[in-house]
Amino acid sequence: MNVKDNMGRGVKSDTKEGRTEQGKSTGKILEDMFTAVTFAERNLPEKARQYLDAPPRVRTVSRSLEDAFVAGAYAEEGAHETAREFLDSRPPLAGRVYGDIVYWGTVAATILTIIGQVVTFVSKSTFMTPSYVLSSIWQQESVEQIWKGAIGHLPQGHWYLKHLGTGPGITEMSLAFGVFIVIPALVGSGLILFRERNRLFGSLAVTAAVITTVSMVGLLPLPVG
Amino acid sequence: MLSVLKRSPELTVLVLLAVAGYAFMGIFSHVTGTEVLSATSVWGIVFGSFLLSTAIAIVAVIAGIGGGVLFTPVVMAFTSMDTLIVRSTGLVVAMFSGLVSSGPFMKKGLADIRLVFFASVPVVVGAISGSFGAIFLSAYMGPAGDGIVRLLLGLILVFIAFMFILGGAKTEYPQPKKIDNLSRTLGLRGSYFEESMGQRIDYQVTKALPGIVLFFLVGFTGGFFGLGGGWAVVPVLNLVMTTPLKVSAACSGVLLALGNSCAIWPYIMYGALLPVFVAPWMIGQVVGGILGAHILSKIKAGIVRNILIAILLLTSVKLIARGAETLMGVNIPVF
Repeated sequence: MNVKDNMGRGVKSDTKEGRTEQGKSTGKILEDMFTAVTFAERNLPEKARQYLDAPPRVRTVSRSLEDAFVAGAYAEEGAHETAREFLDSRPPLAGRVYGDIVYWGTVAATILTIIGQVVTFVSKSTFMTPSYVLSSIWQQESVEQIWKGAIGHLPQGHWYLKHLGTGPGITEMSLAFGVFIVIPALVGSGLILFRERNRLFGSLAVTAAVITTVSMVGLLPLPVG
Repeated sequence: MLSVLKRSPELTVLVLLAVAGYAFMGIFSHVTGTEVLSATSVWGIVFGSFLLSTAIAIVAVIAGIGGGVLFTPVVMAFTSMDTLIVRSTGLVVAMFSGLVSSGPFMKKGLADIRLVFFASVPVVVGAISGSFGAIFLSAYMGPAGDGIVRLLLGLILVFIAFMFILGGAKTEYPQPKKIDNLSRTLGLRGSYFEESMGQRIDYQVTKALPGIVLFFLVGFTGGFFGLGGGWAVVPVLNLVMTTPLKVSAACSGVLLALGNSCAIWPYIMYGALLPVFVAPWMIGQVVGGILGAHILSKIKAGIVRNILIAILLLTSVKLIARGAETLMGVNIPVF
């Protein structure tokens, strides 16, 4: 089947080395997957499941399986060209790594933020109560006035690290974590590009990570207030 | 909607956790009221902010802009909150929908990672420069300088919106007339699978050098107003660099998050990001961002273009009105 022939080409990369390396691994994975499908077609679903559940490629196989079934659906409809195009246009590894780190980091940050908010509301005492903060904002008070009313002065630097036992501290830490997650994503994606000998774009990713880190550690403070 | 929840169990968890969390907060709250707000009002504001933020995020992701473009002008127009608080919260609103939509965009191949990294450095540098530029202009020209720049930006947005309207279907899958040497040398080309058409779309990016300059300007203006810069990234990628509209929208979401993540740290350290106020907006952006990203890959690019045109025009009216209000000292009642 055309689809099977084309699956081995799998993930695209822009370098010859990257193409060869990724093509081999994807080809092997898809070969495994087709073996499992063969088991399933012979009414041996349990054997197919065990085959696919075998470590260490569980997640990769499941992803490949999903892609293969989409392509298979196109092929069954006689759209072999569409199936080939679907498989050929799969995104590069660097993009998927960047996307995964940012996505799961943001999901984790959101869960922590929800927890932080709940703690803020159910705590009997906290240094910045929701009613005080929202009332102050509603009364057009400035950032400086709000903080002075709460702790007597403006906070310095990463203030939330000293208040991790409080709801506002947990919430702010979670927000900061969500912002921070871009840096490891850039570095991880950049390293993959370097590994694929795509040095220019790898360097650009690392440069963006360095600039963001400089901003995070406060070397470029915003002269506000 | 249900199919999106099935495909993204984490979204189901987030939605359930958020709803359960707000219900729990409402029932077991120890918050006491003030002279200005009752305890129930405090909870209502927080929960209402979450719902509004979710709706804004869905529209923003589909249009390839940051939610800050909607959040910041609306809040500044209808409330008298401290602009620093609105600005910092606007950056969070702008960046988190872009952050969470980065995953689906990258997995589906809609966002081109090399194009994103190519644009990331000028956007990030521009965003920081814009933040400092706003403060310097405010110090030397005050509200008049702010009014002039907003007025000009509004006019530029009208121009871009009309370019989209007159460009018609050609802007969905633009073809370069000539490929410049820099774009060819950098290998700025790619492909993605267009689900709505069932075929692969190949594209070639051009005008890399003007792109760098424009990305810096986009980052600068985004950082300058605290709106994020995604709303202008789409026109640059689509109209100037001949990237398909859907890829432009996806790249814009990723770039927006990148630029804002750099610009937001000074606000965090200054204390301008007030957790009680910001948190519901952030949670709503994440939930709405995931929903929007899934919807984006399923709809025709033309729908995105129409939403984008409407948002650009609405934003431009708001900006022009605000600029004129500041410069002429009159009150112009627009949305």
